[in-house]
Amino acid sequence: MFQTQDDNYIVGLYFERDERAIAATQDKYGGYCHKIAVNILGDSGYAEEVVSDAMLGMWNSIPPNRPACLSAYIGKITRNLALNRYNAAHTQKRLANERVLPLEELDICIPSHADSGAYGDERLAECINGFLSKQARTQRVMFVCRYFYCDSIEEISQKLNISRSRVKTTLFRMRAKLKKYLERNNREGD
Amino acid sequence: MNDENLYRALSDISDTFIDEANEVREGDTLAVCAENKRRKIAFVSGTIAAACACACALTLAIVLPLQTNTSNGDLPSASSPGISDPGNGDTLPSSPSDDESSDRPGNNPGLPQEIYGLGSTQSSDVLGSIRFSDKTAYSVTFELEITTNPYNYEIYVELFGTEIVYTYNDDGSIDKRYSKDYIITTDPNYDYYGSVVLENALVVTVNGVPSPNCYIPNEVGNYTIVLDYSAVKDISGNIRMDRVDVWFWDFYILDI
Repeated sequence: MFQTQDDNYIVGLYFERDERAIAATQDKYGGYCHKIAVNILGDSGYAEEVVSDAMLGMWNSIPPNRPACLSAYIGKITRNLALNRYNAAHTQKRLANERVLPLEELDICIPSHADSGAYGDERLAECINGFLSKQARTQRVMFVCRYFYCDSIEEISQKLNISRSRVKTTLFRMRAKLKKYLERNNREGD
Repeated sequence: MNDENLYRALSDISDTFIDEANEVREGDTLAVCAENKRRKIAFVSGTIAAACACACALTLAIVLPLQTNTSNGDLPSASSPGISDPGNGDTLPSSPSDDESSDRPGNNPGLPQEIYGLGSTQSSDVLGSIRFSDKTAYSVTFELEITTNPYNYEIYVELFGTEIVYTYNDDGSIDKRYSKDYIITTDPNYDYYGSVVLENALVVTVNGVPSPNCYIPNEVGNYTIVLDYSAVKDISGNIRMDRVDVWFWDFYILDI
């Protein structure tokens, strides 16, 4: 949980092009970003580089952007940078061990070619948001923790105080539901 | 669409959802589990309140007649099965039934009473409703009402259990060495990745008739479903089934 008031102050520093904004962001969100990057990359060294790049990304994008929720904003930047790094390292086989991302569990959600149609990125994100908004809060939190933050099953079960089995089975059901939801929305959109 | 699209699209999910999940990651576990906890707390509070009320009523019922009888010079018979209420002539039980204590969590590895208190759990959705009606150490009975045809979608029941193994250290302290998660399910296609699946450990009875392949009806109607997992006790005496979930297609109907 982060204080919104501090976020406004930090965003204000970015708009004033005050370099203390980066230090303030690093101070408040450095650990948060590092965890996201480590979850994806599995390597602390790479993760530190990604966090540095994320700070630079903040500096370059604010302004003109004025994020309403700074934690989500910097989380998205970090996640995208970490995924880019993961893909590059994966292609060049530079990662120490062949990590399998939680995201790969989502392969089941990809509709077949007959159903896939022309999903644009924006529409896809809109559909996922629609899907998540229909879920119970606990399930939604599980999904976001697993597939946005790439948290482990163990971490999610501890945070939610439920068994690992239940986390796994809930995510399994949600993946199946998401697939059908995407197929159905695509058919209705045609 | 390919997997890369999907991964990227997940970066564009609503800030609200990201922040909501982050609150939990940062330790605000209570906020998410509030519903479950409130339910448990409400049930425990209700149980305590009910117990207190019963104790008071029993005390009054015993003390008042005793005083009345004492003032009359008569003592109640120690061998009488109940105490006669001179006010209305009803007979009150002399002691609570011993059978009730056999279902308490400490006495057997069955379902914990605080979660599966009779009638304490009910969930409804546009597809129908479900209500617990009975339990024993190794079985759960619930009433399933399906009000809308859920098309061809199937209904699954899953029971979750955990076995925790403890060891004693030299200094007398106790270590939780490991825990294993168990799932018993009626879904033949479920991919468990990691949990121990107890096959043939569940017997499903629908309206009194054993259901082959643990089939759960998915048509409009009212059903009494009995899940008997007594075979679990033959596998390990330490497993305690701690949750029952029922899944429809679009709705996670029961979340205990």
